[in-house]
Amino acid sequence: MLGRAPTAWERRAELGAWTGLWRTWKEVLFAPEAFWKTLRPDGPAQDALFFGWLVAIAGAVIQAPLLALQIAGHWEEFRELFSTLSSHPADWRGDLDRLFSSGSSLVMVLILVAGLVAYPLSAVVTAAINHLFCLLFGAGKYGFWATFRVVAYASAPLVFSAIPVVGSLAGMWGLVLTAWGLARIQETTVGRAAAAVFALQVALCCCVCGGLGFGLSAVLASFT
Amino acid sequence: MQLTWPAPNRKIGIIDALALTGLIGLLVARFIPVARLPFWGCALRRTTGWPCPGCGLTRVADRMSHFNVAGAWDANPLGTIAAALFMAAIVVSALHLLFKVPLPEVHLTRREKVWIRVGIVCAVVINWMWVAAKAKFPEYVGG
Repeated sequence: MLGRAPTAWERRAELGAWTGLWRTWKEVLFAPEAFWKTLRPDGPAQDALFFGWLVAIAGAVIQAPLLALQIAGHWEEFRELFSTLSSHPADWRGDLDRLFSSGSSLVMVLILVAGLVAYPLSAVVTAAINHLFCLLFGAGKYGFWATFRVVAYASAPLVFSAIPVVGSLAGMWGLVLTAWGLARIQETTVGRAAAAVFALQVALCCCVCGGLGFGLSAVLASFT
Repeated sequence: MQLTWPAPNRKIGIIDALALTGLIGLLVARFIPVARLPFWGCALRRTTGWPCPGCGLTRVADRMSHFNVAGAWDANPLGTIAAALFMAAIVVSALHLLFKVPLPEVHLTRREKVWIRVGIVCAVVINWMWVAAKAKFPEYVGG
């Protein structure tokens, strides 16, 4: 573990919270090799979680108004979807109508809160699944919390998740960063780390095919 | 294979994280009718008619969360085993976090690790063949 040191975010007491957050975010996104090479596998998991959570909050703040407008614009389709689900009482529909009405601030708040609450859970779940595959591919040298730290720091591109097209690219960059980070922190090959990150997607190839299919159709639809 | 038992502790690790994953998955499957969502479904199967290795996992989660093991096995045998392992992880993690029950540390030799990987790959392939045979040739496998 020679040459490994706390991240700028983990030195926020000395650098200041904003500088620490900004420098770490920049390093993860634009200098990942240097960042992952110096990331300590035994560093504090809560600091990594806090970083990822703040990034998720920033993403949610950007995403909330865009998503609210999108939902309001597609409300007729949502109404159809709800009518095919289990029978909702008639008065629920009125509430749903009000909830998703154009520019509803309640929707924005709900999306924001859901994003905030969901982040730590989704980080633990993602890290658990990734680490299971890390163990399978022999890439789990430093244990679960090292994987967790990579997953949390690799959330940096989440800030862009709300922006059309850029959001999808950012999501893919997040996966690449996770594989890259796992290779460096668990001191394994990039192939093994990439296999651990992408194994589930490849195994459940329908999801990939489906995702690609839906993505392609969305791109085609935007052109037509 | 070597097992070492640490002192009683509540140290959170991969088993607890997997237990949380399983708990969320099973609660979603229990209370949200995911399979009834209109956009839910497998694009590969819809387009080609062939199932992917994960075909039936939604049904497995749904049926296992209702303790219908036979129904889950019918949908995807390996998925049923995975769901059962997740359920076991929930129980083990609860014991670990509530009563400080120590979780054993497993040390495998290189050879054992290789055999486990080969076993998992074989299980996935055999399971996929079974799921595909049930979807494409139900008259032969009783699907």
